[in-house]
Amino acid sequence: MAYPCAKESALLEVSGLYTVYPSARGMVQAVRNVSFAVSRGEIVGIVGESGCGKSALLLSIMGLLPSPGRIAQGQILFDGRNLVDLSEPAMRSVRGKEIAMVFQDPMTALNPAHRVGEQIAESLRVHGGVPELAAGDGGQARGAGGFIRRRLWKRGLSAVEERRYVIELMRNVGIPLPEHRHLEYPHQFSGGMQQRIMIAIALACRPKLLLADEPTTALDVTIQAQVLDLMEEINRITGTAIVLVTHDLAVAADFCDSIAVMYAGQIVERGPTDAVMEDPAHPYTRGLLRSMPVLGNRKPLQPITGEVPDLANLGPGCSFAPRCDLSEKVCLEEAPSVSAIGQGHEARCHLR
Amino acid sequence: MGHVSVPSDELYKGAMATARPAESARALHRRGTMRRLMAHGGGRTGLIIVIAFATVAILAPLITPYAPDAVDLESWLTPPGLESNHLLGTDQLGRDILSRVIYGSRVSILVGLATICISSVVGVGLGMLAGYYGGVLDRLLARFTELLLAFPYLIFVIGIMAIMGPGFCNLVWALSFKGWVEFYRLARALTMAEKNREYVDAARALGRSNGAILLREILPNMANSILVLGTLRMGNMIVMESSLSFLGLGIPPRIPAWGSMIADGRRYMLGAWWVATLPGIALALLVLGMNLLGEGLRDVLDPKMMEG
Repeated sequence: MAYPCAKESALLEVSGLYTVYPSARGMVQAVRNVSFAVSRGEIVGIVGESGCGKSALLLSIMGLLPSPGRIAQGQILFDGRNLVDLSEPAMRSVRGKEIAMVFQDPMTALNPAHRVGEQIAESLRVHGGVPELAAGDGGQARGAGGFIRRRLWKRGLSAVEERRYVIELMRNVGIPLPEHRHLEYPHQFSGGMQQRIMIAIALACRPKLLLADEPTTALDVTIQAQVLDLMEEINRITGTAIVLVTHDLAVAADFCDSIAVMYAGQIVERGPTDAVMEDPAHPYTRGLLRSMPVLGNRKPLQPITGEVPDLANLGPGCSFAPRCDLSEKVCLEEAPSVSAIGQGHEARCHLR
Repeated sequence: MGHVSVPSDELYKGAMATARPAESARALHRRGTMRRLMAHGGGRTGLIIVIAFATVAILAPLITPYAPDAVDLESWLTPPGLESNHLLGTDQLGRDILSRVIYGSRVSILVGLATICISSVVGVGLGMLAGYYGGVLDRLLARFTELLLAFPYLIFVIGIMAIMGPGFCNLVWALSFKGWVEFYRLARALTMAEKNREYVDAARALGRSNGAILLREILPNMANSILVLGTLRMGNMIVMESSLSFLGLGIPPRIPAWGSMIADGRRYMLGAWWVATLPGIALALLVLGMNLLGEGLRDVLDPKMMEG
């Protein structure tokens, strides 16, 4: 494979990122001072409840924040470039080609008007084919000019090569009879199969990083496991790094090398999966673990009481303090800073 | 469609459905739409009428018994019937009405097609831009279209034709000048709905540009609605063309058009009803066919009925 197995060098490094949405009630700080890194070939899980800023974080990385939202501060280093500074056309050549995204609901994320094979092929054509498979123009051709060149001069893959590649890709993501099914429309597939097609589309250009936004939330539990297994296999075979955003700590614990727990726009705890699961340092992480059902355990679940704070109107103290059963005076008055717990394991809490 | 020999065992049916050859899967889909249209009573009738008119219009020089402008004063106002050589009779100048009605269909269909093509391209293009980007462009177009819609269509076109004078191209431009507004409004509304769908986000996440998103992602999803609107509007355009020709503002008198034929025949209505009535029946029939076809397409292309 073209990817080095070295896991040390960071592929994605987000540091001090602030994402804000101006609104009538004031600045909504969707992402606050978030820093984390993804090494090549690593699987990182970002866990948190809805509204904690997981999606805003992903969209910031992709440069796809819906308009009034913007990145106020911080940098996103990807493969040596700061994505925050890239122009829109430069960013477009990163999207899909180097960083691909898998969405939550494949039913709505696939275009109902196109055959699935065509959609997979199209994601190749956007970036002028696969560098390893054809000379192509290496994704240099963009915009209308590139579109015409690719169409008329047939740079990139020929139609036959393209179809062969699409069928191969569909087979690799576990779709039976790909040589027939590539001509079918999304609605003719089940949810799990649709998500496999989304993954095939995301993988078509062999990205270095795959962002998965709750990829299994819309699927049955049995299918969830299959899709996660597929992503794990892709990670193992191609070395594609994966950022998995989920609200399900159990999924993240099974699947990820390291975990970052987000609360109210901040990463409150991050570290290697084993360390976080065995020795959760932040009260919120512990709360998540306690509210997780365990098979065979008949003790009642303990929910985290209270509500997520208003991100437009944050107090001076720790944002979790109002819901925290351990909170002290200092928690309400002063925002906690990050403290190290162990090797690569840190938490944002006064009580450590 | 021809049936391939399928094992009688019900269990194989599913497997056979997925294992059908690739090319015929494509054909099957296309046939699916056609089959449903033919199963739709109104749609079938409309399609047959429209195809019949189109065929006759295309083959006009081959099937007309006389030249449409051949004057034969000796047999003027011949009533329709089999005893004379004029199946549908003649007009006040002895011109064969069948030939003139056939040639008139060419004018009506051409004006309708040209107007719909121009209107839909302009309207859909502007509507998609306005719906997708919004902002100043959208507001300007909104005011402009409101202005256009404030005039009654026919009065508006009569005004333009009075300035520009009769003529085929002038008529097409005059009709298109306001005809695009309906397409604009439809395309704008559909684009505003479609642009918030997740597949647009997914396309953006793949590095697709805005232009590609509009043309490749959004447009295919509204093609059906545009087709239906186009078919329905074409009937209207044909009526408009005939109205203007009736008033002498549309097609110049030397070209046979249904509207001007009705106008000519008006004076002989009591003695020779056929001169005005027969082109009128042709007009009504074609417009009926277009509307039936449009409604049939609307029912058939409903996405909920898509089965592949």
